[in-house]
Amino acid sequence: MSLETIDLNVAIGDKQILNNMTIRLERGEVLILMGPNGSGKTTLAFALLGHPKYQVNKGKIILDNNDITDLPTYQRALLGLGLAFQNPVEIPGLRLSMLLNAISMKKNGSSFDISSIDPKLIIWARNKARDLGLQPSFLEREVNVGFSGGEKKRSEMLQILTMDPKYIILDEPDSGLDIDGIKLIGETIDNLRSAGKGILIITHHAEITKFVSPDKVMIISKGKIVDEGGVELIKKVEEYGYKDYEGVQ
Amino acid sequence: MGSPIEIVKDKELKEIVENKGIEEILGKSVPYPKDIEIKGKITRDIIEEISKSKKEPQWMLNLRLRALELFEKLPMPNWIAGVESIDLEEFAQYVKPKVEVAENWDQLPDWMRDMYSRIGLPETEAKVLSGLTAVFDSENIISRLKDELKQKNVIFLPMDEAVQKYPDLVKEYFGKEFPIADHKFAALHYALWSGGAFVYVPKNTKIVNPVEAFFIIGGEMEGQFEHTLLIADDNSSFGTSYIHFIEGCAAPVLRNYSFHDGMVEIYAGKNSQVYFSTLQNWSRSIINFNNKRAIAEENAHVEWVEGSIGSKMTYTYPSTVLRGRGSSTKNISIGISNGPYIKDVGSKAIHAAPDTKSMIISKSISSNGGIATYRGLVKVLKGAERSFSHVQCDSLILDEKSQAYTLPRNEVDEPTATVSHEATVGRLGEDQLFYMASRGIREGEAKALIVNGFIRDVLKSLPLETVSILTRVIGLEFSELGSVG
Amino acid sequence: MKSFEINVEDIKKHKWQDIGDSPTTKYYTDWSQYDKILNKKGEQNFEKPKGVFDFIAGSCGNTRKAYEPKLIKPEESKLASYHFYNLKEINEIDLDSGIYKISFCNPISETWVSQHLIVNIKENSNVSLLIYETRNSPGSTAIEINANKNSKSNLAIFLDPEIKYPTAYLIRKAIYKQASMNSMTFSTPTLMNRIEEKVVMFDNSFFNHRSLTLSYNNSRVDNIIDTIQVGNSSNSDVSGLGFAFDSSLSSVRGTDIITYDGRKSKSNFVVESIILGESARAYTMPMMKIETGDVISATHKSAQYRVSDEILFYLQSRGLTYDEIVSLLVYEKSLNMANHLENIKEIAQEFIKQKLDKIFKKAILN
Repeated sequence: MSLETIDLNVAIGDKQILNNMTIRLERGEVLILMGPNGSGKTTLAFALLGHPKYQVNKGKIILDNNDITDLPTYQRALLGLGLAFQNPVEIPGLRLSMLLNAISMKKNGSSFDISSIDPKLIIWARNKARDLGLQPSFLEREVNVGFSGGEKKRSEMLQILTMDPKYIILDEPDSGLDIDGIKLIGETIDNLRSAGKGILIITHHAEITKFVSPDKVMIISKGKIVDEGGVELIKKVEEYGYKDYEGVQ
Repeated sequence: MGSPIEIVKDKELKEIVENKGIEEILGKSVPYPKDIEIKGKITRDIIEEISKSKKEPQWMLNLRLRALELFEKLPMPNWIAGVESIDLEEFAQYVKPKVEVAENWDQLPDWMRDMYSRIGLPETEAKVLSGLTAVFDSENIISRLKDELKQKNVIFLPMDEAVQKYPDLVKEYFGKEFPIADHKFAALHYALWSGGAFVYVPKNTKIVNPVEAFFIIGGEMEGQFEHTLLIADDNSSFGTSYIHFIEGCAAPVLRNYSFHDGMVEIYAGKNSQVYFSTLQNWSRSIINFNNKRAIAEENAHVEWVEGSIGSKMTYTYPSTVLRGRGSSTKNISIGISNGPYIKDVGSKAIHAAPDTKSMIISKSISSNGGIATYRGLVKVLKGAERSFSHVQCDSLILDEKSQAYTLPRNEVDEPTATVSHEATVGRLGEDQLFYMASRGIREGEAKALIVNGFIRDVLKSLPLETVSILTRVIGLEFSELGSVG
Repeated sequence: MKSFEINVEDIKKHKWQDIGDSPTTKYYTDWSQYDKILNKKGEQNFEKPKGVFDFIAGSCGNTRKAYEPKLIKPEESKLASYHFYNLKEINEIDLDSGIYKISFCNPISETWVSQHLIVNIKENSNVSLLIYETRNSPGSTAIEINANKNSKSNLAIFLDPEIKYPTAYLIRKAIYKQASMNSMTFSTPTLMNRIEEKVVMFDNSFFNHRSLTLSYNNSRVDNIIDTIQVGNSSNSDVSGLGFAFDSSLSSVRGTDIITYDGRKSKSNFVVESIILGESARAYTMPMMKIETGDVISATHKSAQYRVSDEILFYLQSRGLTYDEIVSLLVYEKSLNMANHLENIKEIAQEFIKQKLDKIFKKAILN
């Protein structure tokens, strides 16, 4: 049971971004994907979720032995793939509590009824919000409207917890957070791993690894995986940066 | 209980209702404009005489005659307020080109010469602008410009000459961007047009140094019914042609006609960029109509910059039809109504192709009983996918007597388009004036400072020389010189 | 009993509008739909509305009759003339502090039916008011609200006409000195639904208004909200929201006027038209006429857009389909339009919820 890409090639219009990407994420595993800006990290995240602008011109995406390469985004989410965005879009008019309610309804497979609000969910959400360092009143704010960087990350995590996916992609989950915030997110991720989730953390620096130790580290450069290994890779990148990888074919 | 009116104790409402004022407030809150009186007549003979004296080809004469018919048939536009009468016989006198306003420098009014010197306009330039072309030896400058352009095969001529020298080229574009029957005064323009400039930039012409491409209209190219036609032909992979056309001047200019009905037509071919700036500060007795329209083909960009300071009333709505995929337009206008004058300005952007963009910024300032109106239309036709438009119109009202109207229309028939509009009306408050006064700044100077600050971000789009003159003119306009002319 | 005589031959000679709405679209209201039913003759029946109400207006109710309209006159427009021509009675209600539910009778007819209600909110009172109109006939309904001096009111008007008939709503409000009003108007669409709302504001008055309209099933809504501030130090905050589905048209527009006497006033006017259908059309025309520089501020904003691709992808990554996303956003934005109604907020939101549920369940969103 895993999430894998097999020889994945992704382009935006004429521009090829990812080349022959093969990665495998197991359940109960934390995989860190590191690379400089512009290396294709967010492209991978969006392509896994099936963003219409990113075309897969070769290769496959397999989730728990299902080929999801051609599935629409919402179906991939319902099959158990969740993404925490780096820069989530503002949605004026929509309260966070209502979004969480809708997510929960879909997850439970109930028929979508916007006017029915599950009080148990709201109580659960308030508690989780508090665990993530958010006031309960935060749930009444409009999704991402006027959120600080840290609030955005916490809100994304709250939505992930509500979705309860099997595989979670976190795009720069620690940016905008102070050290306490990073610790909190790191611990949350660790707990998710213990619960058997497969977690892919996309980052360009590795602050978060101080609080959650990865099982695997991969380095991406110019749309290709150029190195694989364990935690020692992180130290290498911290000391020498990414320039050693620039010439790698 | 008694009649409802007795129950209403509010004296105001009672008075209003009893005097039938409520429908003016609630019903027809805008008084309808009176019909404009037209005196005199333009006959076919006059038109034929004009055409003959210009040695025009038959097709141009036919166009004029058709326009005259349309002028007589079309109804008076009902969006014009404040124009009471137009004397057509007066026009007949002035359609001949080369009318000098004053014969020598001494005949100019004192305030005007004084203004020029304060602005820092050299006497030679000032003479050109005031219409004293006979006195000013401008041959050197103009012929130098002409040589450079000749090398690139760019045609730059007075419109009258162009009709004679390049009839086929002119016929292909004349009257095609701005329809003759668009409204009554467009038709009048086409019947009586005279003067104006013709510019043709051939395909694939690259003008490297933008300074080369500044065309300044003066003297013989100005007129009451001038028609300017700019054509930037297609430009494929060779880069873009960039034309910046400036007409008019921020300095005050005398005219001895009272009704101006000019037109600018622009054809922006593929990948071309055309910038057209107009600055106008005419005598306060003039009614100024300006008909401006551009057609933008694929990936072309048309930018209109309009600065209106003078005239009794100005009506101008530069429009761009975004006909080619990826074309864009930017429309910047500054309108100042200092005194009991009307600036009725605006813009139209018609999105008729996918991926088109329009950006409209309007800054209007009214003071001393002036009225500044912004009237706009953004229309996105079905099929103009992913089009984007934003309009920002801000009005600054400097005193309690003055007014500002903002009348935008946004019609979107394409579901993938995004159209937005924002407008603010601000005032110069007593607090601000008091604050300035406590720093030793007088009211007029304070107004000038605030106005300049208000239009600052728009000034960035104008060439430096224009900006410095404009800034100084505004300063003088609001300070001791006040509203002159 | 009418206190005015209308010469119908006279009205016929006039145009529906003297000035076109825009250079490209002559009229945002399709007047021809009204022309078609003007000559129809037939029966008119009036049903009592379902539910419990404090007052019922119209011939099936027993509300006091009045003799003259206050805030609207027949001479105002051709539409107003036809409204009065077909009007059988004007009803009037005076309200002191309290919460009230008022409904019109439900007219059933193929011919033009006019209804007219005047509500007077007593000076210094605190009134919350819900007005309902359901109709199964073409025609016009006028609602006049006088918010007398120093009164505080919350007002919700729910218009629910049968979709196949052209309708016109003439809503007029006067907010007198030091009075304040929070109001909301909500309407479902018809073949041609013109909703004209005009408000006059006097000294030191306050007006916070939200107008919500839906256009679906090839319908057309023209929502006009005019605010005229004739009193000094008046403060208005008006917003209009229209949703256009399938190939329907939603027009949300209006003029905010601050007259010379309206010195030191403030106004904010926001209109949004959201396009949710492949052939839907959205028109906005927010206008401002500021006749004095001595204003605190006057701003307006308008936007027409569809749900952006970015928002769609984000919500799809949470497992929601396109239709679910649309219904969620329409639902939430609609409920927001009643947030300011204080003690009638919940009832208003409940009504909106039920209406939207019906609409979404009938799956008319394609």
